[in-house]
Amino acid sequence: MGEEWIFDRIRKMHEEIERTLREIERELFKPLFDFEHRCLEPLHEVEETPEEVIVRVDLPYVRKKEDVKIVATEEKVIIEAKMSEKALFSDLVTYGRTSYHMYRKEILLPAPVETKKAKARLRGCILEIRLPKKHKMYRIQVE
Amino acid sequence: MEIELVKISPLPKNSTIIVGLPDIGLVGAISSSFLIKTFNMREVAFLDSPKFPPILVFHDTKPKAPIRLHADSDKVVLVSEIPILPNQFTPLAKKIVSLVEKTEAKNLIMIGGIPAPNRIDIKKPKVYGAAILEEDKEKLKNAGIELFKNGFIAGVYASILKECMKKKLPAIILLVESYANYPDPGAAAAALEALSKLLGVSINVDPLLQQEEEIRLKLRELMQRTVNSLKASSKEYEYAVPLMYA
Repeated sequence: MGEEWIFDRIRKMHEEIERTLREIERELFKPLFDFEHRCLEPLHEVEETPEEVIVRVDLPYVRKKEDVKIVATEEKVIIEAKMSEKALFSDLVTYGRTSYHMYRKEILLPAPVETKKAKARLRGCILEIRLPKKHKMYRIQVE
Repeated sequence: MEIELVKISPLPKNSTIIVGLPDIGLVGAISSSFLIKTFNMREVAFLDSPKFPPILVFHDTKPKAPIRLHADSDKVVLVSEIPILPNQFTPLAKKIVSLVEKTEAKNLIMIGGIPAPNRIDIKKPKVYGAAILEEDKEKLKNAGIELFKNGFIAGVYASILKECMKKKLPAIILLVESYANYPDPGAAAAALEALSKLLGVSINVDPLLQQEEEIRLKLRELMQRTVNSLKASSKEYEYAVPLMYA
């Protein structure tokens, strides 16, 4: 029993580092489209405050909130959105000389969140999702 | 290692040199490419260096270097289709300053974005101006552009401004509130309206605003690469507060 928890902790840290490195590698070198599913990958940013995790996603040509589908767990959000107009890449060989009409993005969150209390808004084709953190910070009174 | 200026045709003298490089919100890159198209500016030169990535870009079957100079009779525009890497900031700044001196340019105007955390709620982004010479600050005021009073400017534009400061050369930077991580044609339009007032030249930004979504969609890759390169260019300083009694 004794020191097993230390090895367990090291193993978990190792897994976490590997997961982060894989994510960085994926973000840096993966093309921003999925030809097989005719999906584009949107640009996004994740901001963390003491109370919440804020995810913003740039979705040009997505004009109606009904065209956005968001699924969230404690650790990640998956966004799918349909464009109002097809994006043509007919002159680009690397894009398969075709058109795309969907976005899809899976985003890992920096902290566990309460999905049921999350709110989202679409403004100027930018989707903003505010997810309250599961473990909030509490104020400690100074005596 | 020095950057080579490869001339295609003579560069105009006494011109205004406008620099729009990939930076926050790609404001500079969007603005410069829009100016080239709007004023039908011909390619006059390109920049090359063994330190640049091995990239060539084809536009309508024509091969082009990614960092180029376009011109008409009184304006020269520097445009880049690739992010400028931090190890190229100083060589590029020196090359631009040498260009200002050799062509006896009247002005050097840079266009860039300044990250605004509430950009999603801003309809008309505000443009600030900073200048090296006092007379240029007057020009900014006369054009109704608010002066950038306190704060850090980091990255390639800081290197260019510093080289101009050393040589007491005229240099102006227009900084517009922008998204940090998304291409921002709306911010570029606001910057171009300010440039229009500063130069006394009419620039119709309607086509830029009409193509806003297409630009945002098609510049995702350049934006992503630019964001990665900005992380290594001290951009975080722009969020810092400078000393109070300097």
